[in-house]
Amino acid sequence: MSLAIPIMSHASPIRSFFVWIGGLTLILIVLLGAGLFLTPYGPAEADFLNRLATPSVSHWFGTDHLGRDIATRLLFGTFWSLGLSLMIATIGLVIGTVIGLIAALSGRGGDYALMRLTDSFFAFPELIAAVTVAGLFGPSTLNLVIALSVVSWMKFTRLARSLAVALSECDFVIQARLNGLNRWQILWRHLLPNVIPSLLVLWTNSWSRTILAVSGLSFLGFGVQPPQAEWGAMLLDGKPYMQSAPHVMIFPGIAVLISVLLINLAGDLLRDLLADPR
Amino acid sequence: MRFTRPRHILPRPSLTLPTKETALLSIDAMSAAIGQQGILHDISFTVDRGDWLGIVGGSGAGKSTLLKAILGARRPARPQAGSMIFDGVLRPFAKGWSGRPKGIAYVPQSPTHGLDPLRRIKWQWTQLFRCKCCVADYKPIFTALGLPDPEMHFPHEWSLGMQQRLLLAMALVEEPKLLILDEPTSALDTVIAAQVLTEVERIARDKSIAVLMVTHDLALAARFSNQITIMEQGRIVESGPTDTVLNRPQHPYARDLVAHRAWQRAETANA
Repeated sequence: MSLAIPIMSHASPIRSFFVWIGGLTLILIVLLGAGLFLTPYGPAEADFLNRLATPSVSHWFGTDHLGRDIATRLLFGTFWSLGLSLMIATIGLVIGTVIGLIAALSGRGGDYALMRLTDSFFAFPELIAAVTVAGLFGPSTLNLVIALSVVSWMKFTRLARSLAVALSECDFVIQARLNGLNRWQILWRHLLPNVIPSLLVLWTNSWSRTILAVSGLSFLGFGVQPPQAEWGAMLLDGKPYMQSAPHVMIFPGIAVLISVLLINLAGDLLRDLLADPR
Repeated sequence: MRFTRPRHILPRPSLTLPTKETALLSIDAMSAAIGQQGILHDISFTVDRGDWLGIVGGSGAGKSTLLKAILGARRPARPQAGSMIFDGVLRPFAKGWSGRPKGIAYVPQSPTHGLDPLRRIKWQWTQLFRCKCCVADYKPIFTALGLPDPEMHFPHEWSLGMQQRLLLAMALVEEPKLLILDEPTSALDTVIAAQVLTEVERIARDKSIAVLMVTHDLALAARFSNQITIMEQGRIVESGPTDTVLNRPQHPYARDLVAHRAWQRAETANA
């Protein structure tokens, strides 16, 4: 793979910065895996004698109002926070790409109808729409996923459609069409491979934004429900004790901050590597 | 309301004419439009076997649209009237045809748009023949054009000149009767452009391929073409053998073009 070599060989500050980011991400993933195996506590294991304990050797990040180990809950919460938002971003990516490419390939009428549909979804404010869905169908994880997916696909549609339309004007696509390839063959062989790199960059961006949305909605009580160890739900748990035991909120907050930051930076890296093949 | 000719008046597309005496390509009273807006009006010209016709015009004169229409594309502009006879086969523009007529090859304007940047060169080469339902070895024609073995290379790993020659190879391998060049020099520097065009000239002479070249550069057209057609705003304003057009241009636009070339010449003569 020739992609990795230029990062190492060019010792520009930006490049080495990205090497650091990649290294940090790897270290965090290793720590996460090790922690899940090594922790002596369960994510929902309460210890009422040890409520709101400050960080110590036995409880690295302290305990919350039910005496549960915050470090352990953060580790297990990774799957809720990062996993759910990854799932939502991917659902958005797939739906958005399919609709965008269909819009680009269908004639003027289909294109117009699909893009106006997309515009109308853009008109919903993202979080408010999710709150409304949660309010209508009741707060639950599934409803959170549905609500956020419904408002997350439009930017993929816009990008996929505009890229595909621009590519269709390119001579290699015109040539392929004149050579007798039908539109699905052109879609699979030329359009999709050329559209995907830019979409992946947008996808990482969407992922990090969705982490914030999932945590925010859970914090408001519309998403993942406590006792589940989702980071936003943990923030919600710690809110009454913010004054007396700030560590209950600080560590989940830091976890959200670091993961969003790392994913954003990884997206930048991905853009540098993928978006321009030349 | 759009006016279309009734179907039954149109001649059958498979009508064949005796080929020896007639022109290789002749376009008769062709027009095209995007929506209601006319792009090409009453275009007629002929290309004889072994001819090199240069179509000269500024940006937006409809040159590329004309090429795309000859190749059978109906987007962005839709051909509406007129007919084309290529190699003895009559095709009415209003009815259209699907795909490039056999015997016409097309070299795109620039390699950056002509080659898929994410596909290996070999893949693009084989795809060309998957559509044509035959297998062709790249080695002879690559050697003839001075191209190296593509191995596992992507297009961007080759220089622009090599990529342009690759496009040329892709066009020539079908042994066309008419080669269409769309602004062959716009993406290349002058030295490489000259190399590529000289190459085209040699091959066209050897295999007696007619060439239809679209360019905005009258000097270039004068160097390579024996027939020149000047277009302005979707109409042909001047047409004839290169010498006649250069020495006795009739239309004001053609005169301007020729004068500009004379001015360039005067400058190089003084230098």
